[in-house]
Amino acid sequence: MPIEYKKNQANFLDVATVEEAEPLLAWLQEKKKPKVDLKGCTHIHSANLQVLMALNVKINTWPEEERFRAWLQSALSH
Amino acid sequence: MKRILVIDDAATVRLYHRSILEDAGYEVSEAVNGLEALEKALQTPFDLYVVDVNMPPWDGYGFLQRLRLAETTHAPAIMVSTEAAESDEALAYRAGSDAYLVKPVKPKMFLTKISLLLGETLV
Amino acid sequence: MNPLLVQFLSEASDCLEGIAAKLMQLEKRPGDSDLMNELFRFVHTLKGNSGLFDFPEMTRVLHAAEDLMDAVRTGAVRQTKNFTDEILDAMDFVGGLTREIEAHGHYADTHRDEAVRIAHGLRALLSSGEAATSSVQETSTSPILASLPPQSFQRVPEAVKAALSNHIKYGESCFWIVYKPEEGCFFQGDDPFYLARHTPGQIWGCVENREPWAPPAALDPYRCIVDFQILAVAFKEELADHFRYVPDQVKILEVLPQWLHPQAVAHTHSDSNPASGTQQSEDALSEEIFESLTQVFRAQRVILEVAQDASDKKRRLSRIGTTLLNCAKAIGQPPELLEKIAALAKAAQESGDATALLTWMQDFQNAGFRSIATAKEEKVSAASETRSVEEAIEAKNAARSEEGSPASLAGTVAKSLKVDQVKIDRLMNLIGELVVSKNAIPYLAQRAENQFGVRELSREIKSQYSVINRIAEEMQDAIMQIRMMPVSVVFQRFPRLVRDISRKLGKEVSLVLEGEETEADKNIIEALADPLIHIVRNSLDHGLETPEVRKAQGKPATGTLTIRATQEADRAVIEITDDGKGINPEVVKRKAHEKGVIDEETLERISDEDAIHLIFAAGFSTAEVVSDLSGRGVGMDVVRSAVEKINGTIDLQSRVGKGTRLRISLPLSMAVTQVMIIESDGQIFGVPMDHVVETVRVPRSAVRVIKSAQMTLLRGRLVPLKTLNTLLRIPAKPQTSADDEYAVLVVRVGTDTLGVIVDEFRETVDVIQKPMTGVLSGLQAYSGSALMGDGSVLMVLNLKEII
Repeated sequence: MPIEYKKNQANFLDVATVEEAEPLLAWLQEKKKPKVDLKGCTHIHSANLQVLMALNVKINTWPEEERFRAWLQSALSH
Repeated sequence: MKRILVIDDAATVRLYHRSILEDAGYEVSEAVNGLEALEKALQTPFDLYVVDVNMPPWDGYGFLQRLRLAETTHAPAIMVSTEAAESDEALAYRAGSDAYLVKPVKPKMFLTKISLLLGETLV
Repeated sequence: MNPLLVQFLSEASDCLEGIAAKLMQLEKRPGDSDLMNELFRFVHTLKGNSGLFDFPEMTRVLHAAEDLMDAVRTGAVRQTKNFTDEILDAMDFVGGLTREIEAHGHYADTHRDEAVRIAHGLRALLSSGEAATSSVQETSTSPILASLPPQSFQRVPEAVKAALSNHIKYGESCFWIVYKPEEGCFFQGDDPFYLARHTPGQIWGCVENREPWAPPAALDPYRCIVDFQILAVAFKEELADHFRYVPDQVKILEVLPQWLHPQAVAHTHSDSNPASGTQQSEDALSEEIFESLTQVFRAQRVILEVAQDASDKKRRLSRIGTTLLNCAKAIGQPPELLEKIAALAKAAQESGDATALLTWMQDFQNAGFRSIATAKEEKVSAASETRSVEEAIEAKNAARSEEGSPASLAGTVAKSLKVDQVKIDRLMNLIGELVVSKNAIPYLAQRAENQFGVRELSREIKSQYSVINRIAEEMQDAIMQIRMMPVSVVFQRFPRLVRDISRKLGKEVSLVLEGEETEADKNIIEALADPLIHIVRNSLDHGLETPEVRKAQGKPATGTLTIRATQEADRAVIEITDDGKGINPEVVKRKAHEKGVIDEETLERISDEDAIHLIFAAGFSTAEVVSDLSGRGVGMDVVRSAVEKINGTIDLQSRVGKGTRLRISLPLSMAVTQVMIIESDGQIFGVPMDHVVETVRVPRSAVRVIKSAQMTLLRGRLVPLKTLNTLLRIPAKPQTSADDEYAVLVVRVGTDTLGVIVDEFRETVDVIQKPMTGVLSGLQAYSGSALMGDGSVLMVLNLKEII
């Protein structure tokens, strides 16, 4: 399912596929202090992961699944 | 003495589990598949179930789901599987197991988990 | 034969027959899914069963067969003639193994290569059409073994390392995977993150960029520049299979036990419970329990997560509550906690909101599965405190009781052990040997690095050595503690002795003993006995006056003899004081001069203080003036050497008419001495490092002879030279090196510095010196002997005597 973009927040739902990486990158650059909500997310393609890592995005809510969360936390808190 | 039902289609595996459990002082019964297991469980409910995943006609999931629907008091169940993947573990829990072990089970961990689930003093 | 094995063989035979039969049927009816499934079942069962035993080759082949079978039955791979042949071959192999097991209980080691070949062949069919390009191929008989973990392994959190340690302990294979996807892999349809996340058996992973990120405006998200590191507990075949499409981008290393330092595991447990500190008391959870609880707790969380709907959730919460309650009960939590858990679970069920319960679970887990309430902990730490006090008393008593020594004197807690002296001595010798032989290890490490170029091995050896070193030192300390005896052992004979002698001599003496419980090493105590007795005799004989004489001097008729033992820092101090007539410097001076101990000049010049000390001089013996009691031809010089032999010192203070005080200072234990080994005339000797200043090579030309004494200039100072051979009366000349240089050991003895010419210097070692005993104790040249690592005896030179 595509990422839901609300005013200042990007909601990731289910799986974020490879095509969404570029729009995500663009959106993040536009916003001053973008927020990311991963609550309902079950997977993101590596391309999206790279975008989040490169922009050092602040994550509002982490995904529920323990191991997925662990992966993302290790990637995004360096 | 607590009664444990071991469910697996391989005789060797049943014997393996039996020897570990009997040594630890449990009373062990066996079933070769989910159908037989459910019959036995409905007759006299057990204190704990050790359930293999892959067994025809119903696999371990099938047995557990039916058990959970049928039983009055909840008895703990450990699912034993060859798969170490999280998704399989999640499936096991969805079906109604309380713990998960990968084959071949290591006796010490096996017994420790059983004690924890049964509330038997460990320390 | 073990019944389980019998059962296995029986079932194996059934399975193999079944497989053969089904295969034949399948050939006639290819694609028949029922047959396929049945075939699969047989192989699956056989594989599972073989996994219960130690039959890795068998399991490996069966695993490959199972994977192939699975692929064929799901249609991923086509069934071909090759397929049947390969499976039949594989089963023949397995059959052969079972026959060997039946005959011998196990099969020979020689089957490994064949197992690998067969498994490889089976897997080759899996990637039908594609050549098996996996670099982590079956033919590589072992995964890359790195004895030291890669740098990045350090970032694995302690809790994970602890879990990893457990997996390894249980014999599960654990791997460290480094996955570096190539830049353009997205265009091949790869999603490395997905692959990494779904690694079978993973317990930890992390991802990082391998080059700095470009600024957002210039970032190309489709260029893959991230690397993954994963820890997985799985079969290598599973991992190889999982990464089969990207084999050259993946490196799989086996995690070895030495990657994990033991401290890591202990650390986790003591960390999680600050209240009980690092104490290894019974209330710390065992690893298995800790691990099991962690897993069970995690399971409960997942169980809650996978709830289908509200009513399902409710049922689950009820089960979770029961499970948590049982767990808490199992680890002996107090009833208050059990009630709390029950209450939390009930509340969660009713409200449908499990947050409070989950929070409690997390807190409980973080606290190391202990109740956060302090009540139990206080009780526990109080209990462990009393325990440690008891332990201390026990240790003290164990130390005392040796062959009926007066352990009962202490009169404390009665727990002690009677140990045969011989056993203690044996233990002491062994530890002495250990201390010495461990010294070789750093040299081996050096050789590994220098001679064999194995740097990492050298480092590992050194690190392990420091562990061994610490342990050896602690062991030594421990055995020293056991050997500690109170001086009362020696003191106890004095009341009787004093009474008897004073009676005989017609003197009245009151004996005061103080500090009997002061302890020192057994050897020292034993060596102390004779000198002490002699001093006491002397005192009774020459020191203390008869009642009449005393009264005439205004002293109380009863003389007082005090023997006091105290501990000062690392020494034991024994003082023998009497209020007798003291030592008259005039008398001593004259006597010394008479005996030729001092010359006329000294007689004139010597101070009173020094004069008194002349009684220690060799050759000075007041033997003629002695009564039959204390005179055995033993003078104070013997007393002093006896004291010095055990590394003690003796000193004297006296006032004429007032009394005499002798003060003996002894080391508390037979410490390890560091000695330098030197060689002379093919023999080796030890020189205590306390005396060694430096080692130098002196060219023959630099040796000057002044007044028939050899000398050399060392940094502007004239240093006398003595040849060891001469000192020890060895009829050999010292050898020079190839450059015609002498090996000179510069030592300091007392206040003098001199050089001792030896043939060669060897290494410095730690030894436990044992004083010379029996016949050899007359050899003044040696202060003791020590047992070397290779069993030989090293004579340690007493420089003071020989120079």
